Amino acid sequence: MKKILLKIFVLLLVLLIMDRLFTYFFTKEIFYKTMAGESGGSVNYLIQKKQHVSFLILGSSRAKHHIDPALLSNVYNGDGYNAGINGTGGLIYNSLLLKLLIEKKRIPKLVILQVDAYPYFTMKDDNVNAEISPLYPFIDESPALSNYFKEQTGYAEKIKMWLHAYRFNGKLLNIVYNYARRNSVTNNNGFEGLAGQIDTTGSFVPVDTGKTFHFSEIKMKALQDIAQTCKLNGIRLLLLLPPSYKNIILLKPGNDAILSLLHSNDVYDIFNFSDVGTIPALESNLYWRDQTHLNKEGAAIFSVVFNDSLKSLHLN
Amino acid sequence: MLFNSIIFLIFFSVFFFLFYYLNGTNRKILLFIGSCLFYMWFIPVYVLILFLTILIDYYAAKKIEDDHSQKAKKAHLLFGIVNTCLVLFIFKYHNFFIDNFNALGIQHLANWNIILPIGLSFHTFQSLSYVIEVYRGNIKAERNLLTYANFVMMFPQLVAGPIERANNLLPQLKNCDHAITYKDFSVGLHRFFWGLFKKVMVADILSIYVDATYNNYQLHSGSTLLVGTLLFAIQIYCDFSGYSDMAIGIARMLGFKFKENFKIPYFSKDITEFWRRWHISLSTWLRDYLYISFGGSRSGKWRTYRNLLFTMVLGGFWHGASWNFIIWGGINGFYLSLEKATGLSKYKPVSFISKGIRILYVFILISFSWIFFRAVTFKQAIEIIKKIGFDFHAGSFQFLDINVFSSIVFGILLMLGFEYFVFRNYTFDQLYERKHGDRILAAFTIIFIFLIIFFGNSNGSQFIYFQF
Repeated sequence: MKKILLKIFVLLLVLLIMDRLFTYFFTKEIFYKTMAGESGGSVNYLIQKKQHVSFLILGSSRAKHHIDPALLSNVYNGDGYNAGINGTGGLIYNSLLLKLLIEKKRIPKLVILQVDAYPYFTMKDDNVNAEISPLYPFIDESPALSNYFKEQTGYAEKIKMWLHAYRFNGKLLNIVYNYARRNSVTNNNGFEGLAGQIDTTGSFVPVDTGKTFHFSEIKMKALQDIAQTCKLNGIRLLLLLPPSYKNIILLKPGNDAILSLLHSNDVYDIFNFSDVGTIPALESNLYWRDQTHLNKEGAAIFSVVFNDSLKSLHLN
Repeated sequence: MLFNSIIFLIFFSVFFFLFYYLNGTNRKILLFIGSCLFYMWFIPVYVLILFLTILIDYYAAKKIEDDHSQKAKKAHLLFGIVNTCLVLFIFKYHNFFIDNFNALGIQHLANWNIILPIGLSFHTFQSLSYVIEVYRGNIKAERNLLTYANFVMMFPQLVAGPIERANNLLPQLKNCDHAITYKDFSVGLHRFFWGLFKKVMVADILSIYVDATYNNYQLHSGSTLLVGTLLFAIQIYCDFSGYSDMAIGIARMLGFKFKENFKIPYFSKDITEFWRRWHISLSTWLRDYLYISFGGSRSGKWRTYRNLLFTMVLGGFWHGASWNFIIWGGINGFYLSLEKATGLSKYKPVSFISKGIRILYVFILISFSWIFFRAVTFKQAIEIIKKIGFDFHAGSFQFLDINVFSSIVFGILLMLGFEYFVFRNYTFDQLYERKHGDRILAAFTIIFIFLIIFFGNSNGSQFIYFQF
């Protein structure tokens, strides 16, 4: 048994030493130098390069690929950054990202928060780990993030985190790629237009509004958290509900619930385009890449329409 | 409990230390309790089904041995087989037959709302082989119920095999007094992490792409679906062989030796060879208890082809209660018959190029059959085949998420590299015996752990074969 225990001990020791050494050098020499990408690069860019960003766009891929800050000339002359994120860009991620930026003294004047009711209604499993994992590389730098991690993640995730390399789980290739092209990243405002056009031969069945859905409590708490963080830090919060192709994910009762929650938190700047009929040009399939994402031509139209509606706020 | 979960790591760490220090009956009791806990982690009450099949076959085997008349022996064998199969039928096949009767308008019966107990087909086959072997006089009936229960329930192989034979495992479980050597632990530990690497870093990442294509097959072009199909072939290999590696590794850490279940099957040069290297414990089971019982190759070539086809169709049906699995089995039976008829497997390729062509031929044919295995319905499988065949535009291929796709390519290359250059030539035992072998294996394990941490899917997803 002694020999077996010694083997386990040596293996763990080697793992731990290699883990700490690797994570230290990788974080310092490679990760911090990436300025783009969804594995922390865009957050690095915001922290290191965009010290005086006037407005910040938060949300999912439907924020990232729909709103070009450069076209929002009616809001601080377009001096903004689109921090939307693909896949996991839910409210928990957005809430913690905002707190991280505030902790780093990167306080925007305005936050444009993109939301869709549908994912928050239908997601039964509150997969907190998946939502916050893009921020794991910053866990030592943000008390808000590390507290949330301690409170909301299970024991299994905490055990995995004993190895610091786990912070880069699923991100390594992306980080290395963005490190390699770090010098070619110019004029980065976070927006990424999508190429391509929707295949209209498939069937398009809108979400069933007749069903009874239940809101994810943890996500609604995050939404409230964003509203309160903005209020506490003097940041104006503006809500945006983008359209979907043939209103495929339009869920009116969900939208109403979100709006009512925000009203109770004194958020009244709401731009509701969730019904595609409000922007007739976007009813054409020419401007959609898939059912929920505009292509770059569609995004340009949407950004211009959104910009026009922002004029009334007199934010320049 | 899943091997690829933190809870299993905690469970096994405690279990190992207790097992190491206990002896004889106490070890057996611990193994039994540990196996119950492991199984009850899924749906606790289902352990009763397991107990039922254990009792049926335990008594059937005893009676077979105790009775002297051949007729009575046969009756006890039938009792064991029918009752064990009845449990399988109720939980696995009942709804399938109801659906088909309803579709034919013969009856109008309601489906039963039951969840299939995990690994039911595996321990059913293991129990059946035990009773048949006792009947054939190849092994003695186990008189100790606890030992027999451990043979069926032993947790490393309980839910997804390998389907261990009584002549290999029962003698090891009989006394349970064996010493756990450092070599056993070391070889087992490294084997476990190799399996974990294949599951978490390769199979689970591949599943992201495969699920995205197959679950929305209407939205994807033939080229994307083709890549999805080829990747599924690798996914199911890494998922299942990864599980087998982990099971063999865990058993070895406890001082038990399981039979090999996979021998790098995608390097096979014909389908016959593929089935000798893929899920070996099932293939040999089918061969020994179905193919040979049907008459094997003893009654002329047409009967041989028929026997091959029947055996593979039943093998397919063993996997799942759906026409897709039956068709999958039928396709493989057809391949095997065709190869037998043409004598292809007798011609061994010599040059590197001809070997490569033959490996590619096997991979493509097997991948085609996997379409029926992966598709949820027959209609879906046909639609996918149609798209691959008639809607194939290389230009419309989609990587979907480039980050995931690059991880897939990286994972496959690493896995193939290790398989081809290391594990094709050496077993873990042979590696251990080499100069500095233990250190080399430890270095591999550290590499695997880091790869799992960096690239692995950390959600602890289930194994594909758990559903069988």
